[in-house]
Amino acid sequence: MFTTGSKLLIGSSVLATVAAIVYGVSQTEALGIVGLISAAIALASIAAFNVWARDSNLSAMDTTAVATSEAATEPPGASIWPMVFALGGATLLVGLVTQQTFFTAGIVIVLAAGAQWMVQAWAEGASADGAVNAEVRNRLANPLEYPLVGAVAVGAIAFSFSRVMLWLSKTNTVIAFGVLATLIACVAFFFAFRPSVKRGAISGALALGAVAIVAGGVAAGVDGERDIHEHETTATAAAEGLCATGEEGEYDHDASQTVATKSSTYTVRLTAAGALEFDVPGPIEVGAEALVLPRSSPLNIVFRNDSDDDRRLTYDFRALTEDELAEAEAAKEEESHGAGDESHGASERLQQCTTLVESGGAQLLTLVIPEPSISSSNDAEAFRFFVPDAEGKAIADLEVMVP
Amino acid sequence: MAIIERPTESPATEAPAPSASTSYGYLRRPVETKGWRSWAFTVDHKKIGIMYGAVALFFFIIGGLEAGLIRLQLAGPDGTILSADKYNQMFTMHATTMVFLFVMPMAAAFANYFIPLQIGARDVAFPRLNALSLWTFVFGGIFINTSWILGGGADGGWFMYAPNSSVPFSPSNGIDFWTLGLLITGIASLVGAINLIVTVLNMRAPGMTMMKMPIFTWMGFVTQMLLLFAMPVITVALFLLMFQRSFGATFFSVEAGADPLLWQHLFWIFGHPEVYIIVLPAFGIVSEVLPVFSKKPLFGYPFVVFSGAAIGFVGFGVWAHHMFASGLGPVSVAVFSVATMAIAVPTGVKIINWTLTMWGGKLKFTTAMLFAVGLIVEFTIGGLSGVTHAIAPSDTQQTDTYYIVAHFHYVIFGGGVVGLFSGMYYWWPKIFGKMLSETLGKWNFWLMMIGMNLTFGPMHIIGLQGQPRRMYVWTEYRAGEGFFNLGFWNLVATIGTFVLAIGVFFFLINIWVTHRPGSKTPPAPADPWDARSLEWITSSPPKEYNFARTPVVSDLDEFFHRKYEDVGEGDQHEYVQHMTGEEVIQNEEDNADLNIHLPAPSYWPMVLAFSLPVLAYGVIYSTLLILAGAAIATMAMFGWALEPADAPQSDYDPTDDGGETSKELANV
Amino acid sequence: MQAVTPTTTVKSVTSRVRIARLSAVAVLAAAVAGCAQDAPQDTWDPAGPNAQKIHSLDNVVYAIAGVVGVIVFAVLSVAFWKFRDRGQPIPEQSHGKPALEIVLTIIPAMILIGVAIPSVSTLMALNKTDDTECIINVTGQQWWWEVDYPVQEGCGGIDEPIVTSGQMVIEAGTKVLVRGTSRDVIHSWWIPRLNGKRDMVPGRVHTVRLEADEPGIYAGQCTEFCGLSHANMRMEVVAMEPDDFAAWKANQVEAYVAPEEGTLAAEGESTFVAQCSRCHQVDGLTDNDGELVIARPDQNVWSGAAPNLTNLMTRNTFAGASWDLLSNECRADVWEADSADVGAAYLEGVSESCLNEVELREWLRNAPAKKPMYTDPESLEETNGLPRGMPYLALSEDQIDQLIAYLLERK
Repeated sequence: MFTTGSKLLIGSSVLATVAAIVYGVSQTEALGIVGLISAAIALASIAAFNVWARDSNLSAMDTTAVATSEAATEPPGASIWPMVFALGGATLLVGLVTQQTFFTAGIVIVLAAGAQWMVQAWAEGASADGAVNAEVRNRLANPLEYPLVGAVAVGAIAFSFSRVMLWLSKTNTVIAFGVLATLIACVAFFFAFRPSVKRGAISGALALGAVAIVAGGVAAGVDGERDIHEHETTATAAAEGLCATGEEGEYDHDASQTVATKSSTYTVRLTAAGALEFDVPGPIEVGAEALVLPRSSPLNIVFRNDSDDDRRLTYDFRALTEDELAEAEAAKEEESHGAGDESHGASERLQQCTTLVESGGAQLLTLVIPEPSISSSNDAEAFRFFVPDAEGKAIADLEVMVP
Repeated sequence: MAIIERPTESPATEAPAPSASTSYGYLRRPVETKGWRSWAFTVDHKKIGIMYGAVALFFFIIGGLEAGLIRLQLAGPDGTILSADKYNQMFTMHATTMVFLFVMPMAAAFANYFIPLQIGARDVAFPRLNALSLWTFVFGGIFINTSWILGGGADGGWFMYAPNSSVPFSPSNGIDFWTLGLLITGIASLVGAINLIVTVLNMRAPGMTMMKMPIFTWMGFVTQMLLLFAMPVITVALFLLMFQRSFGATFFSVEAGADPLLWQHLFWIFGHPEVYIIVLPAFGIVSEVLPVFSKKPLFGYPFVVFSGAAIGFVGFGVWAHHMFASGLGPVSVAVFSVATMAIAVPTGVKIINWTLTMWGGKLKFTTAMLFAVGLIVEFTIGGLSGVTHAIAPSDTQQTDTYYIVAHFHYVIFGGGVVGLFSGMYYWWPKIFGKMLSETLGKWNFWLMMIGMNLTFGPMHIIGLQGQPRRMYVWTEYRAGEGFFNLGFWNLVATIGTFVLAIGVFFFLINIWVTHRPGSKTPPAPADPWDARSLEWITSSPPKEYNFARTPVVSDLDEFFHRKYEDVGEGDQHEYVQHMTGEEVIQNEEDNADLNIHLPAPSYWPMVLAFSLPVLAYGVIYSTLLILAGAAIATMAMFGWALEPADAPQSDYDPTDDGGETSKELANV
Repeated sequence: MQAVTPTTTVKSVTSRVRIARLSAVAVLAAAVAGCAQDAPQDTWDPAGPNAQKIHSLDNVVYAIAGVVGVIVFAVLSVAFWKFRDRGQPIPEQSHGKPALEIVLTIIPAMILIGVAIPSVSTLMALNKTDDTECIINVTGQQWWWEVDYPVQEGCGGIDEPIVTSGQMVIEAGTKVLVRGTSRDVIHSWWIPRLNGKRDMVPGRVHTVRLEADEPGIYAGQCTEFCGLSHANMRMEVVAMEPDDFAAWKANQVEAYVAPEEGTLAAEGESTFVAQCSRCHQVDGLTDNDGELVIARPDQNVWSGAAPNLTNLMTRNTFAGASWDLLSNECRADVWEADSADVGAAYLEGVSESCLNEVELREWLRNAPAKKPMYTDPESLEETNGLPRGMPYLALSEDQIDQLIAYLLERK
């Protein structure tokens, strides 16, 4: 009933279960138990599959085949896996006392080598014919080996390549990408039109390319990435006070290239003369001084900066309530503790703003205005867009009317 | 694994006992030749084709019932048969079912069955992948329809425009079922497309150049190319939607700065080629049927081929004509408007060529021919109304009204489904060895034609007089006055639907009458229509290995030229039959090939396909199910890779290189 | 709606015959006279220059399509008759004549080029915005349209924004530019007798021209599928003479007049403040403390908007223009009034005797039962508990009486 392979797996599963129980009784940490129980379940499923498939080997159930099998009398062939297994064990131990990376690598090596060892040992029992045994092994192991090794190889190349691209400057990435793509295309054409080229040459070229990329990746990875700034989004918290100032923050150089900034929507433009003008699809209402925006509607508003300075557009909702203010202060407090940065205090108004837009640039501001403008009765509270200068004072204003 | 024909030198003389080392245990391949197992695990393209057809027909009936309910609801003002919610689900699922679960798989059924036969191959290039396509489609179709009992079907329309498809606007799981189900059936289409493309490019019989390929195969080939490029686009769109709905992404959330038109672009870049994916196979079918019953070759074969290819190519550049009212801006609209008019040219070329094929012929109006002619007539109407809304300003009045419903039903039903019915009647004796009744067939044809024109004809008027689509009720206040008001035409359309349904019912009766136990229908003759192409140079139904001898092709209409001889002199042509079809086939069988190798059946395609709906249920309901689905998928892929190359009952002929085996042809 | 001129009738009838013949051979005889008369959304009955441009283009295209169709069917019929199998010998196995093929490919291409030119020029004309005389904003949401008139010198001068819903009032003969967007899903603005449709997409602003030649009420309907009650999302454009339009504008911005103390309407006012004003704005309405009542639909419904009811009874439809505020008898007086009288009849608004009380009561009693909306509390998890549309408010019959009395004064 139970074949050699399934006995091994059932045993492992039972062992993992026992280990899980022991671990659960002696330790409180959950992760280990989860891991051990998962291993037990996984091993049990594989064992069940194996029992059903009877080691994928008719001969295992065929007593005469077993009796007459020369496998029992033939000595097994050479194997590299015990050595790799031992190497993995050593790495694991080194990792325990030094770095976690080695420990992880050790576990991976031990598991991989152990699996290979088991499969090989199992396959060598299949017959007396070494070639046949190798085929038996391949049939079982290749479907796992190819995708795994493939994924690791592709992952390594992609990761290395990404390191190289992150190391190069923005302009050079474009050039490097173009050159590499051309190179690949040329090599591919060369091989396509010369079918007589030896396979070895092709494999060699590909391996060389892969090694070059990985080597480049290692070098670039060691040297580190170029300076990359995170772009603010329009959702930047007003509480940080960024919306009020004109100089802090980042450009988004590419914002003017997004699809949405070209689509049918509202545009607010800061002119060279320093005035705010607006633009809407179709003509502007004659005699209108305020931008009419629908209430409670998600609005995409493009801010175009035609002035000579770097500016942002801020929409001013209202003063923060006391609760909100307290919350914002608390958040600010916490952050400045961490960063040791005390450049500006919390703003007292609820605002939403674009990032700092360079001269000639554009960026999108998405906002929803929940209240109608009649809800603010005095002029000081009028709904408005404004462009702050470095001190946060408005240098240009645009009234917004929300019916 | 691809089928590889082996040379015939080494016929297996004695079969050595299987040794432990050459067969790999319990995972051996199934061998049943009878019973349900012989169907469930088959990799035979003919059986797969038949199953594709049967399942598609089942979904056709489901989709038809949905259509019937829609029309009943709209028969009078303020209909109360369906609630608003149910109605929205009904029209969404009607379209989804008809497009993805009926027309596409039915076309796939014909392509699967006849492309290998028409190019003289013994099977498709990847037989197990073929089975995977079938079962993936079947499980995907069932999966989508289980939404009916799990909280209701999708309710966003088959176009599923964002943001109406987001969770706040459709809180039930219907759209999740729809999204995941279409992802699954998309796998089926994509796998099938790759399989058939490889088959056509690599497995044609000796002598069959691309320009000697039967026209149905050509159109099938173009269709598969369209699928190959269109399916990835919808897959991307569906993935975005799945992440939007199930994992909190904001691809279509306007509050997060998204532009909802992104979905429309993605959907229609797939959606427009989809139209041609639907009609081109039908065009291929009538291009086979018309020459046979006109006793003339297809007029302008290269023009039909290249216009088909042109339609396929230009079809990718006109998607935005579904978006003329979306606010793209006049310049984009103008460009797409002109491009859309341009695609009318190759379509017109097809109509002209079909007409000229009949001109000067010897026309025999069998049911198959009637359906083919029906396609020309109905599709011409659909094509002409199509031109009227290629005109962008007119389209802004017509789009999203019943005029569009009329138009695309004339195209998809009149151009697609009618063509498929023509194919059914034409190839039924080939597939099943029995002729369908011509009398019942004519009832079927006329009822379907009258029904379809009664249903969809009035919709032109309803639409132009201002009734929008997708409304669960219409009101008398907007229906106008006079006897022929919109209420009257709505009622006519509903009556037409039932005439149409009766017409389809006659088809089912016809099948029953022909095949019921104790039916007196005699076996069909080997060449009942005096046909012209390669699939008829074999018995009906074809043997498992298709051709006794791999045919060698020298003409476009190979079978015709084997039967008839031109005895005319100079420019005078006179054709004399020197062989009957039976004799041609007998001749082939007398010279049968030895050692035909056929792929063995397999369990794994079905198991792998089964894992997909499990995964999909997991996405909707529970991560545990995702794990279960992934486990099944892994096991199936493992089994697929591990199973032996051949079934154990094959006569093994272990060769020195340890590679191929061959199997002797049983009856030689 | 309108009496059509004889020439248009002839033209459109023959074209219709053509389509009918193409489309429905079996119903040919019926189709000769086979169209609805006076259908309110008839695209073949244009009532303004924009729709007329499309219609004129259509006529040409349908004529060409008709001729092509007739030729194809004639050739087919001849082929069926002439070449049916009468035992003639097997025809020549010719694979076609390339010269003929090329000619037959070029002919349709030429026809299409001929059609493309006028079609593109019409398209451009319909997208012009620089001749606008009046700008009106529309905003779609599930399942009604908000219409607002921004402050401008156009439209004969608007000094204070006007907000209304369901019905757009315009001056006949004025070139109106509708500028639209949406608050939730995509909707489509379509007044068939005035112009083609234009989708109103959230986050985007789209424009469409409107102009009515004559005063009248022009019906329309949302034509982009927008969810559950898509069928119940309608709208009308009411075109009137300049004087009437001026009167309408003045009426819209009149100051709020509170109901007299002690009347049923006064009770209705407090009911309204308590029950309705969370979502529905009535401009100038004050609460007990004399504070202006500002509706906060953004906190109460998913679309963040509800119709402004300041002048409800100056409109004659409600709930997404799906039901009439006017009873059947009074409806005809406005809807079927002569062109010259439409404005005056419309400006009368809805009086107590003309009110379609039955349906308004049904609506107040249980709105989601009358118009399908997502208001079931159990299915609102995904919308943070906010209903999509007007929820069931459990109003008593007394409260409904009070509200109706109050609302009747809103004009």
